Parts: sequence; structure tokens; C-alpha cells
Amino acid sequence: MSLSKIKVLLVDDEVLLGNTVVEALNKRGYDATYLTAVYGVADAISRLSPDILVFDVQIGKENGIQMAMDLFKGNPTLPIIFISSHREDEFKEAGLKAGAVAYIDKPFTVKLLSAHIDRFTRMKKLTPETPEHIISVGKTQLDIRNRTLILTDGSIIDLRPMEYVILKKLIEHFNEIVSREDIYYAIWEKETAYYNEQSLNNYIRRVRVMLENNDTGLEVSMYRSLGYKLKEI
Amino acid sequence: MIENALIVLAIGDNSFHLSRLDTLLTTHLNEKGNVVSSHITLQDTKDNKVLDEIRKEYIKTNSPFFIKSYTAERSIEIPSSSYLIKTEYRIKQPSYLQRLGIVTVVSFIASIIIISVLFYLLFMINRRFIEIANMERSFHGAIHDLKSPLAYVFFQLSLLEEEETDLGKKASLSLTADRVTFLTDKIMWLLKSARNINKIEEVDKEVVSLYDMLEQIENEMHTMFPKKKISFKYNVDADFTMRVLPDLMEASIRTIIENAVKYSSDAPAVEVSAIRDVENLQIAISDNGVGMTKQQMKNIFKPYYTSDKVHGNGIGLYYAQSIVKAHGGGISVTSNAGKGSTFLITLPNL
Repeated sequence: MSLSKIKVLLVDDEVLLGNTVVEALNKRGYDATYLTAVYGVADAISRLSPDILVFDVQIGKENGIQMAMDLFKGNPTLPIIFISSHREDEFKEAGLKAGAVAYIDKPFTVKLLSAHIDRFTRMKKLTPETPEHIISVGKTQLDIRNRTLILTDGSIIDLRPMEYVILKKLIEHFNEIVSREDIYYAIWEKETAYYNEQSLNNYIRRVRVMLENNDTGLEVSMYRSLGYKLKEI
Repeated sequence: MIENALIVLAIGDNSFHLSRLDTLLTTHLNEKGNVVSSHITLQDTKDNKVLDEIRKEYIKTNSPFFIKSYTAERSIEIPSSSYLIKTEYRIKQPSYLQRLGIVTVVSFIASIIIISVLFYLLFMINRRFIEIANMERSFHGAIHDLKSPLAYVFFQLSLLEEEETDLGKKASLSLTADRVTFLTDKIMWLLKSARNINKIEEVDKEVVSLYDMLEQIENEMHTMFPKKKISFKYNVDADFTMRVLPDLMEASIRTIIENAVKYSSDAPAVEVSAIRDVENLQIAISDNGVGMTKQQMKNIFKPYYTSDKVHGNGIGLYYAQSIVKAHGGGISVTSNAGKGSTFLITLPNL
């Protein structure tokens, strides 16, 4: 089956950011286009037929959410992701009510955006291939390509590189005890000079806490002098 | 009778001058009001003739208002003759209304003045209000402008971090990206503070380990003050956790520890203890630094106060306190000048 590129339309008034994001997305295999302003969005949509729209909530003086509501009516099947510096809950609610599928806070990493795009265009595809880059575990799905964790409610957690490596290792040895040395190796490989007790402790704790704070159905148990185990709650 | 005799004698002598009588009476009566006019007659009632008469006008006035007439008569009778002295005095009363009038006018004027002042104040307050609303709006805009470039920086860093294969560089990029997130959180905090919404949503809080936080801060201290020999001692359980906004709480604790290290000799000693009881968490940070006087202790939590004119920007402790307060807690300090200080952070036990 031909893997056609996913078409992304990004609308944001921050030119530097917009261009960089689109460039990065294109490098990752998407077909992304950047628009600096709201004028011409409707045109661009009919011209490009994007698979997904990424919209900044506050574009210049316009209210992005209002725009989205108008667009939504015209294109009900087009998924819209909002990005914004405004983290207030009212904005989030308003955004999701307007019909957006997700709301990403700025600043965000390219992989988090990518993870969201993948997830919400996957839903659209009529033939859902079970992508090899998704591993289901507990109530969550680990997105290997984007190194993020997808939860049951659809929200996506961005994982720092070390967190991702640790989690992946634990998932690969689900219900088994993984030694600290193995974890060290997974992160730093043979570069023993970089091995750092404190960093490792920090990151393992972060993974633990992250699994605990979210509805993941998973937990990390510590076995003194033996290692760590990931299991279902 | 002696009085009468004296008066008759004076009359007989022609030394009974009505004008003198008038002067005397007028002077006396002027104490009670203003004498407008006087009219005195001296009559010989036996012979029925007027012996003397005077009329005097003291105040020219046309209006009859508030002028009262007082009349008095005195008859002098002795066996051989009889006289009659008639007096009429017209006196202007300082009327109550007049008196009242003055008071009323003064009060009225005073009220006008006070009301004008109030209106002026109201006007000024309203203007200030509009000014502040404008400030807030532009502040809001400024914050947004601050965050946008940061979003770009963060994005680029995350790209570089992904592509970097050298572990050392990768770690540096990771740390740098963390600082950007910290900055962004701080900016959001500033924005919220400006609006006085200093309450932290429970949803945003995370469970963090105090020990981990302290170790991280310790590393930073060693990097920031390489020439000092800093010793850290922790009386904190490895599993002592707290539900807080991680970056901000860390900033608060870091500020206190940084001060402890800064304001001490070349070998600062910082000791941190933490206890949890039913209601609260208490984190005590002690140092062996220069300590503070009572005066300084009173001022350190004020914004823009600093003892260090060169390096301090005075915002640290004020900021730290506002963060802890927003978590529902507080910071207090005890100190001995020359010996050291202890800062106590109290947080509700969640």
C-alpha cells in the first residue's frame, strides 16, 4: 500500500516558528504548508485539501477559535489541532468545544506535534494499518516513531529522551525485573563516563510519577539491588 | 427716696444731662446688640411740660428687620415736684437666622469644597483604572510576545537534541531545553501574578521528591560558586514528597539556598531538614552565613529590597514567598547577625 504523505496546513503568525515547524515536519515525511495569516485559509484548504489543520489560537488580532468554528462548519471532517501560548483552561475548553481534536501548549517539541498529527489522521484513514510503531501496554499506547505516550482520553504525553528509553526498556521486559546496569546501557551504551546515578534516579522517578499521575493502569516497582519492573496496576 | 432726691437736685442744678445718660445707657445696651437709635425725654409732670429731649441715631438702617424697641420709664416723685424720664431704645438683634446664616454658609461652602475634592479623586481613580486596564492589556500582549520566540527556541532545541548523537552535547541540549520550559512557566506565573490570580490549580500540581530537588540545586550551587567549599547536609527522607508546581517550588527553594551560599564565607554550610505532620510539611533551611539584623529580617520579603547592591536584584525572596503562599503555605525566617539564618517553609500536607 502506498504510504501517501500526510498533508498538514499550519497557520501561525510567528513566522520563524512557523517556517521551522513546517521544515521539520517535511523532513519527517509529511507534506506541510505554512500560512502566516488567517486570510486565505479557506482558499488554501480548498486548494491543498490538507488532512489536518494546525492552528494558532491567537493569530494577530483575530481570534483563532472563532475562525476554527467557522471553518469547522465548512469542513466538518477536517481535524483541527490548536496550538497556543495561552494555557488557560477557558481557552482549552473553548478550543475543544469549537470542535478541535487537540490543544497543544507552546512551547512544544516537533515530536509531540508529530504524534498528534499521526494519531488524528490515523483515525481518518479508512484502512487503519496497525502501525508497527505503536505498542499498546496497560491503558496506554507507546508511539515509537514520535516517542510519546498516548492515553485513553486521547491526550498525548511528550517523553524526554531518557524517559522514553527507560519506559521502552521496561515495556520490552514487561513484568520482568530490569537491572540498573541494563538501563544504564540502554541510555548511555558503552559511554561509562556519562553514567550518572543521580540523573538515572531522577528520570526513573519521573517515569514512575508520570505513570502514577495519569490514568495509565501501569506502575513501576523497585526491587532493591535488583532493579525495576513495569507491571499493570 | 434718696435716689429721687438726688435726681431732683441734679435737675434743679441743670446738671442732669440727658446726653450723658444716653451715652451711659447706650454703652451698656451695646453689649446686648447694636443700638440703632435712642430717644429720651425728661418731663415735668406737675407742670406737664417737656424739659429736655434727645434723639440720636447710631446706625443708619432702612430695614425694620431684627430691630426691637425697648422702652422704659422712670418717674421721680417727691412732695414738691414730679418728673418722668421716658426712654426708647431701638436695638438691632443679632438675629439667630443671621447667626445661623453664617454657619450655614460656611458649612455649605465647606461641603462644596469637599464634594469637589471627592469628584476630583473619583476622576483621578477612574483615570488610573483605565491606565491599569491598558497596562494589563499591553502586559498580556508583552507576555505573549515573550513566549512566542521562546516557543521557537524550544522547538529548535528539541530538533537539535533529537538529531544529536554525541551524548554530551545531547545532554547539554536537553538541559538547555529544560531552562526554556522553566522560563515559559515563570512568564506564565508573572502574568498570573499581575492579575492577582495567585492560586495554583490542583490539576497543575505534581508529586515531586524533595531530595531529588535538593540534589539538583546542590549541583547548580557547586557550578555557580566554584571557589566556595559548600557543604550540604540533608535530614530528609528519600521518599519525602510534596504536591507542588515543580519548577516554581524549586525556584523558591533555590533562591533561599542560593542566598545562604552567597551571603556567607568561603565555606558555607547549608543544612536542610524536612518533617511532615498531620497538617503541614515543614522544610527548614539553615546556614552559617552572615545572618541578619531584625531590621533586615523585616524587609527581606519586600519586593526590590536587597542588601547586596551589586549583585542582588531583590526580587528573589519576594518571588519565593509569593510562590509558597500561592501553594497555601508561608515562609518565615529567624536569624542571628553574624551566626546564620534559618528559613522555614511551611506547606499544607496534601
